[in-house]
Amino acid sequence: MGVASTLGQPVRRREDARLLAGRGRFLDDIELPDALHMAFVRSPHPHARFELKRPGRLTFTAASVAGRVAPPQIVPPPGLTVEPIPHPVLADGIVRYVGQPLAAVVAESRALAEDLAERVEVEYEPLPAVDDPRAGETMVRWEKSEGDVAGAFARAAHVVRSERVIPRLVAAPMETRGALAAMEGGRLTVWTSSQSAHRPRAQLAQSLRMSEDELRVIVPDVGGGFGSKGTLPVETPLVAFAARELGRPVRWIEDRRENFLAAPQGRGISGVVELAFDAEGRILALRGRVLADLGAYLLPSTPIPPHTTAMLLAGCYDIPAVEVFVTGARTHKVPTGPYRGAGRPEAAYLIETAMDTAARQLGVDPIELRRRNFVRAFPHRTALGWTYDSGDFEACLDRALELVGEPEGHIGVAMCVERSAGLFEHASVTRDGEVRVGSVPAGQGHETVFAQIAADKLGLDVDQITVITGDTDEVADGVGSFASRSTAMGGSAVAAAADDLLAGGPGVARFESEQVFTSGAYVAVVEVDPATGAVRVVKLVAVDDAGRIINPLLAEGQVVGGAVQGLGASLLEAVDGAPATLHDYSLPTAGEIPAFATAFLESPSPHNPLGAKGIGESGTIGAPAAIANAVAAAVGMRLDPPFTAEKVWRALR
Amino acid sequence: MKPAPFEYVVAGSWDEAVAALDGDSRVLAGGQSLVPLMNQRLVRPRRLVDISGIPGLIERRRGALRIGATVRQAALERSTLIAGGWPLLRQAVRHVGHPATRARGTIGGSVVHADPRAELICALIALDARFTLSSGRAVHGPLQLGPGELLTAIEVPRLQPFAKSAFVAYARTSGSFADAAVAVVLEPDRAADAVLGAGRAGEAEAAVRAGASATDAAALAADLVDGDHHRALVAELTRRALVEAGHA
Repeated sequence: MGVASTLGQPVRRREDARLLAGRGRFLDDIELPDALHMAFVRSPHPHARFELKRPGRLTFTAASVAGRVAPPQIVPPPGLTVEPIPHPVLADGIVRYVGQPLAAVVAESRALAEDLAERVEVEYEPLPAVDDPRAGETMVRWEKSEGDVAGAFARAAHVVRSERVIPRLVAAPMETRGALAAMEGGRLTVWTSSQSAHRPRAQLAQSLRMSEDELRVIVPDVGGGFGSKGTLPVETPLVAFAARELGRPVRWIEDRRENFLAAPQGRGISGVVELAFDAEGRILALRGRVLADLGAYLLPSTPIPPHTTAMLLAGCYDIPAVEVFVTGARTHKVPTGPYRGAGRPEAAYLIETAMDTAARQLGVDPIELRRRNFVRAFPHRTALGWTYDSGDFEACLDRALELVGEPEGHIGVAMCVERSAGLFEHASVTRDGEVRVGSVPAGQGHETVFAQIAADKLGLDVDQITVITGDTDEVADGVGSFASRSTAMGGSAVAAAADDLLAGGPGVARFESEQVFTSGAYVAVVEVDPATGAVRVVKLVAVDDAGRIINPLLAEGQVVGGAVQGLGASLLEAVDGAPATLHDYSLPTAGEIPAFATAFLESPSPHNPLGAKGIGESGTIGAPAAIANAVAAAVGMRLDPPFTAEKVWRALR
Repeated sequence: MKPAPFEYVVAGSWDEAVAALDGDSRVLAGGQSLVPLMNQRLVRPRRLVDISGIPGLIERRRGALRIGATVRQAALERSTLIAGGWPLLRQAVRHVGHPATRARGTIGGSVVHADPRAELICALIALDARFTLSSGRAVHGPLQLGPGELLTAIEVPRLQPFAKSAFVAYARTSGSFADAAVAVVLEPDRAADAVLGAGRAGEAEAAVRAGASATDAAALAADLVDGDHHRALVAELTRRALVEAGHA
């Protein structure tokens, strides 16, 4: 005892000594000498009928795995109407996106497996492809209506309409996805690069018709997920199946080309927001239409982002009446899924650009218009149905305006609200400082934050704590790391397990809570070169209220990293038309990173003992909307991202 | 992303390299363009002849600069000879890829690969470089290798005293291929203006010599390219390059 608590202190990342020195152990670092390598035959067509000619003995096809490997189940958020269109494990006679796997082969090396894959003869008969979601069949439908929307629009002094498009994005984690599977002592062990261990185990059990006891899932170090590793790749059950069938370990490490073709993409949302204002600039009602380009099939998490987009459409404003429709359309593209923000950036972009458009139309300063409409009392149940637990939106905005000072260039302001946490998390803690938790890190710093929380409870030094994650044999239960939930849920579970231990119990806890709501204010300062159209983001101000901050160093890292991904989405990134590669899809580099000013306000969440909220996605939510508003101010008209030099130059002419 | 099977031969000298080449072979220098193409199986040579071990020097010969074809791009950045006498190459090479790719990529590889977006080619064109081939031929202007012929060295003439140069590029991100770039060399009685992918802008050069403003000369350089935004980029980059090289 007597060790000072480090909660709230900028403790340096304990995992960095290992990760930065190259001692991390990622999926492809796990050596199983006898392992076969799997490669996939993928469709070169967006839509085609096909026939496989003479598949070899070691070729897995839809026919050879029929009835033995099931596609993943779709579990939509409550209230969504979802068509039963799961992603097939392997395409059966028809392919619906470029990159869809239709056969798999194994060989002694990846190069040999690729040789075999290209020798698989496939005859394609191309079919017409749907590229535009407006022309696609409906796979997901949701609507919500509350209050007298028609009456509000009828008596409104001003009606503002804003229509915006957010293109599809690639998550592009530094480490691609993959799986390694091996039979060990009568059980199947699957190593996977994932944001969860227990969910893949449940999905694999369902896919392979095994009991969870027969499966062990291990997640080694993970080089980034950004949501794209929260969904089990459709390839993974096949890797596991092959290892069981062949009695030899099987490895599939997704290469960069496959990652761009076949990993779920983010965004791909267009939306219309209509706002009814009274004469004083108070919002009376909101009408929203969200159209999502979901791609060819539904992965388990595909319906989540459009639903979250709709549920957060009111942003941080007190809007008494709403009417929102969501349509998820089927196109001949790789499925979408959560990508850092997963509906939150879309919602912030739609409402915050609409607020700037409204300010111009009403002749009111955009900052003043926001102030007139902020939610000011908490808890606040929005007309859409979620309850914001705590916050102080105006204080965030005031702090952000202080930090931006008197900039040179055009500024754009955006507020953001994000749902985080929810469901449950499991943890156990021992007297000698072993912490086991169901959260699974992909680089965020869990080994540091969870150690801080446990050390604080047990009166130990942070370095006396060992954090164990990502192994279903080591950790009894868990959900994983997505929706910015690890500190609020995993951290609270660790705190509760330590409390249990100190109270004489076994040191085990399952912590459950409803969602909590992080908020923030972002300001972007941009310069536009009228001769070339080039946009430079000079400065980004991020003020976030994520409740109690356990480690401000790590929290700031999350904000800056997220904002840089948001910067990429604003200036550079879009998948439009043909599938991208790193040759044509630019990611931001150190050279494009602007000056940052960050700050935290702390409105503790009442829903967990730490008072914590999520911070992992804030930057990707606030930065793009702020940059969009700054670019609109600079150009004098509204554009949709990415704000490429050519697009801006044309707008200026 | 693994290459189709190929045979790998290490050449210790230019003669060995020429002897190892046949119609189905490709030459491996730094591999920064060829290897990704092979990994995507877009290029599938039967044999790869690795010349990266053949020594190459950066040296002054009779006043001119001579760069061996296998000299790494990173060496151009570090060379004091280049910094002092031909700074345009140093200015240009910083726009080529990233430090990691420049550590492997060679100047000869850039020239022979002949990607229209290659910044080094643009700079070499502005410098009136000559290419020395294994056959003994020397080529001035666009490089067309004959069968079994290899680029062995690049020669750049001496610049006049008080020469000034500039290399200006616009790329989406630092390190990505430039959307447009311009190399300018201004000497007391010579003006060179090369536009990435389009060669020398003769009319712009004549205008500069005749005393036209940077803006007016730049408008002539833009005539070399198609597309209105591309033209706007070339005009603006040329203007900036001329101003940076001291022409108002």
